[in-house]
Amino acid sequence: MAELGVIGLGSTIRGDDGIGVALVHELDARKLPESVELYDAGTSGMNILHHLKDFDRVIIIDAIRQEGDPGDWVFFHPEDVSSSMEIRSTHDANLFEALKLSETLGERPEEVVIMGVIPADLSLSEDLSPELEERLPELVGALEEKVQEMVRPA
Amino acid sequence: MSNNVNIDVEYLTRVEGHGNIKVNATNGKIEQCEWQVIETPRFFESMVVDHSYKELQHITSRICGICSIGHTLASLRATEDALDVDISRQDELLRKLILHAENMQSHVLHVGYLALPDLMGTGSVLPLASSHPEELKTVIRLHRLSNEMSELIGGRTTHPQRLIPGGFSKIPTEEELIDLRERLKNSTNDLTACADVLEATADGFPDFERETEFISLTSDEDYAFYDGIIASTDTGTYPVEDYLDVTNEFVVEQSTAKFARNNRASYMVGALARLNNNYDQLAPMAKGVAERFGLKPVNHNPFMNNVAQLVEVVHNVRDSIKIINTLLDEGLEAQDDYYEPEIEVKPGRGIGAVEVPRGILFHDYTYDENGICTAANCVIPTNQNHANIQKDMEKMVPNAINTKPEDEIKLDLEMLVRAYDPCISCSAHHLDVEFVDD
Repeated sequence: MAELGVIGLGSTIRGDDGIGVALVHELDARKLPESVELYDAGTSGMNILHHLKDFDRVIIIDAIRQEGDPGDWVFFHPEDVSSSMEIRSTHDANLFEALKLSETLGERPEEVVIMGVIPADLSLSEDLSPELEERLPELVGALEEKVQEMVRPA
Repeated sequence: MSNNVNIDVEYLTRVEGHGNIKVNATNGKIEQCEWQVIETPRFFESMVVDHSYKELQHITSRICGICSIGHTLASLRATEDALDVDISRQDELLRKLILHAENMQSHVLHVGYLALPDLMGTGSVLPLASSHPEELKTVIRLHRLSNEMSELIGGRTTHPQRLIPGGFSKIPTEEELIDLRERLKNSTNDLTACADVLEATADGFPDFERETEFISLTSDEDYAFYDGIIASTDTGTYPVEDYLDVTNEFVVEQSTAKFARNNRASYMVGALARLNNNYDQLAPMAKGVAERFGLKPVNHNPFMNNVAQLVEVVHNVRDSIKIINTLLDEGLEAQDDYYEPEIEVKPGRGIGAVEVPRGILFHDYTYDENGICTAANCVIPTNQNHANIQKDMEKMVPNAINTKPEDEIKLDLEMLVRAYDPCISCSAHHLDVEFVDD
């Protein structure tokens, strides 16, 4: 069982919706502790349930609709969200349902952190918008820092 | 009861893709009774033209995220038929194994996550986590087993990468197959538990029958999934090459997907069709489950397709164990990873027919002398079921409007469509558009 899972969600043909997936692939090029496992979940929806069980802790990255500028990001715990409708995945409403189901089944990782990134453009494109492309190093940096913070010695 | 009915289900839930149920009746007179398919056509047959035979199975796999393995195999079989490529017995057994995995994966998902909520009256699978946690865990365990089985043989759970023309680019090890066999053997309790749950709730299926024609593959060798000839409960057998004479696709106004018919106004494909044609070849444990539900050939109740799917899951598990035993007894012939069989390219046409979770699937390709595709046709199972769904509705509604309240009719119709486990976006794959010259 990997200690920390980093899961990227999103559709890579919907522009910035694919930011979660893009960040996981960016992270793949960095040197990470062995106990970290990366997973490109794409738009696999409920299938994320089958992967949550493999981790003690997870970071899930996704595009979110929120006040702010494109490329702004926020780390939060799903339990801090009052309604899944307020911060709803842009491509698939299943993340919060999968987390809930995972919890009921007794498989939920002990800590779940969501990194939500504000997109600029969700229209059909295989590329990120220039706004997010420009802030990509910043985003990878913040994610890497979070990963290091969450890989605690036992 | 409901002499005035206005049922308007736009985007039926718990099916793949978009379809509408429209029923209108005034004073007992039915004005509209339609199963509408409203997906955008996806033009896969045009997309593969000008691509190499090495790419086609990867492109057509994307027709469906549920039956990607089935599309991959139908595609490879069409390509191998066109190019006269033989595969080894070992590769054939491994392909049968991964097709079992997909059938389990899809059926467990459908019966457990999509149909069971109707029978439990929960409207979604999520409440089952609180009301029936043990039952749901059973379903999830079986689903995971089939996912991991697909990944072991194909390289991933969907859109397999290791299945290539002429064989496999990588095969599992004997140790991995032994481990898989253990897990399959250990799933017996879960299968029994699933049968218990379905049996306890199966009286929730509406009481309905309509005589129709059932079409599937059939084979002397086994309960056919990977190989065989076409069989109809009405008209006997046909060689796969004659598939166009059997499917007879036609365009209707209410649907962006084509409909199909053979001997009657409609026919049915899928688990129930396979069971009706090939019942005797089911594994004994699978037959045992069928008997618990009184499911015998020829059964004309479309709702029994749910039960037939469960019966097939049991068969998939048992036959997979048998296949692994054979592979291990004969000894797995090792091959290098990234293996690529040598293929001599030649022009020609080939047809592949494979049974996928929702029924018989045909891919038909023509290649030029460089192995480049020049024409393609795919006939998808859900297409073949659309007309049968429509005809079932036409029989069900006139009886129901005199005996049942509107919301019950609506649920019955939703359950009817769900029983076919339609994969709607696969079915709306192509429309022939002809422009008339001035």
